[in-house]
Amino acid sequence: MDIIQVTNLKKYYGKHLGIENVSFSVKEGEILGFVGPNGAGKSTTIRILLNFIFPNGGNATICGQDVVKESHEIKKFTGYVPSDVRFYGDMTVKELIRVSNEFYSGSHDKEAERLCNLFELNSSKKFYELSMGNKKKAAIICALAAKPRVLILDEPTNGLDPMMQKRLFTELKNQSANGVSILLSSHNLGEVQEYCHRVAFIKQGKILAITDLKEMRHPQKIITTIGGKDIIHPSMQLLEQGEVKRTFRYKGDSALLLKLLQEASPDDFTVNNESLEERFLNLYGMEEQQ
Amino acid sequence: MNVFRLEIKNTWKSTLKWTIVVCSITFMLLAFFPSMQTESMKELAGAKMEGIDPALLEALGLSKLMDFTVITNFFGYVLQYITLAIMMFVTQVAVTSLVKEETDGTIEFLYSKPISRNAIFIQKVLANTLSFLFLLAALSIITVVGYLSFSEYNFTESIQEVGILYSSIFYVGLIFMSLGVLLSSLLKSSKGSSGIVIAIVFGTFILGIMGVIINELSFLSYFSPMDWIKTQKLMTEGICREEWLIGVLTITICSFASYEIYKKRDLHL
Repeated sequence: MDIIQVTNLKKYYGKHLGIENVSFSVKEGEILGFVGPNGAGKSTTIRILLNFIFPNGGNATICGQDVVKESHEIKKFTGYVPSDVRFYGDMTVKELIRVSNEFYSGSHDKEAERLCNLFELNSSKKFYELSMGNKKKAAIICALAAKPRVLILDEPTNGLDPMMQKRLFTELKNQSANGVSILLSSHNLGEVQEYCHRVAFIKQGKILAITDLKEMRHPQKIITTIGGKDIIHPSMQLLEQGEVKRTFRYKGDSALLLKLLQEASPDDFTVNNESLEERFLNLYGMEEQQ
Repeated sequence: MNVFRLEIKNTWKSTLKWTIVVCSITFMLLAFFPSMQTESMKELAGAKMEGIDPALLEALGLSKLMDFTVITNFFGYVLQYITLAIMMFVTQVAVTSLVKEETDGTIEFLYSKPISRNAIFIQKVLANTLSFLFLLAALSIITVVGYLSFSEYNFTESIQEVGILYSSIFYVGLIFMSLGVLLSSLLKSSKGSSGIVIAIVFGTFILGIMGVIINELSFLSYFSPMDWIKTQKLMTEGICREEWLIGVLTITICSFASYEIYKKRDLHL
């Protein structure tokens, strides 16, 4: 079941393109990575989902409710962590969490306390006194305390130390296992590859590809050969051609690969699994060449 | 009423500072009143004012040679400058009410919570109105205390006069507040809002002066709400029908327009 459904979303800032025909979905219990360079349109998409800004076309729903018309209802079950956390500086973390929780029905004090302990956050400090990482922790606690069904996270690990990043993702994994749907915007491809189910690549306001990361568990291979003959085969995609060095992407079984390499008989070669980072760079490189 | 409480919490320090300053100035000015009643001061003031150009007297709000030995005249004169300060406060609070959180970035916290823009708008405006009422209530108390301490007015007379003066200031304050809220819904940033506040408050004040000095421009007084409530006029003529109409229309149109604009605007983060 699609919890977040985005269809042909468009946003222009005057004449400047924000996003165009952005479509993707997030299923129940899924973590969707949202990846792209700075200014690609990630934050614009997120801001439309939260009704901070209005789209010029297309539509988006969360749990079947329109993000423009029923934003108020959507936010009852949606948590949000902004990339740049700027909360009320004069308040202590405790006050902020209390104020945040007051917007939701029911008591969430115990959950907030559990999260404060998990992220080792001193809640008696004023917000302006906190480091960047601790501000991020406060935002994460405010977003998670009310036990939302949907989480929209804009670069949530920015400023967090590696141990806290690990704790956050363990928590997100647990939440996802309990049916929480998560849209995770991030620059950190390693964390996206490790924790997300699928990833949507966006560039210059357009979705380039949506990849199932299960495929990455059986990754394509990047083959580099030095010297030897050309390899021409449907399963070999030439990525880069130097004087003697050639780089290919290979999708197929090992036996065929060995046979192809034997036929080409290069002076030297390397075989590596393709990482998400390479996929990202190839995708964006290809786009740039076009 | 979470946003209401949040807004009060965020603005109470500034409200308190303004209240303390304006109340202190008001009380100190009232404390001058007994010295105005002495014969020598009366003669001095009369002689000085007779030598001043009538146009300048008009501009200073001294359209007739006022008898400053009467507390209503004396306080009415100084009140026009206190009113300027009050309008500065009200307009400043209103201009920053919606847009400041966008400039500071704190609006992301609020907007990610389950509360509609309508509710945010209404609760913020209510919080601003309460801050304004708090300032007026404190000023009313201080003024009554001043009247009782420095004039021969009894409690009932003081309450009656102060009630008329400050309720008219409340009315004019609502006009400036609605203009401020409208601007707040249109601005992209609260930076430079002080200049806008000064332009609105002093601009309308100066329009009023021009309307008084230049006969051909007397219609400008309609664009100067502070002119509508000058004490001498207020005590004799009250607020006229046209002034009520312009004021109520301004409040209604500005409030409705800012409400609609705020509902449909993109956040600037």
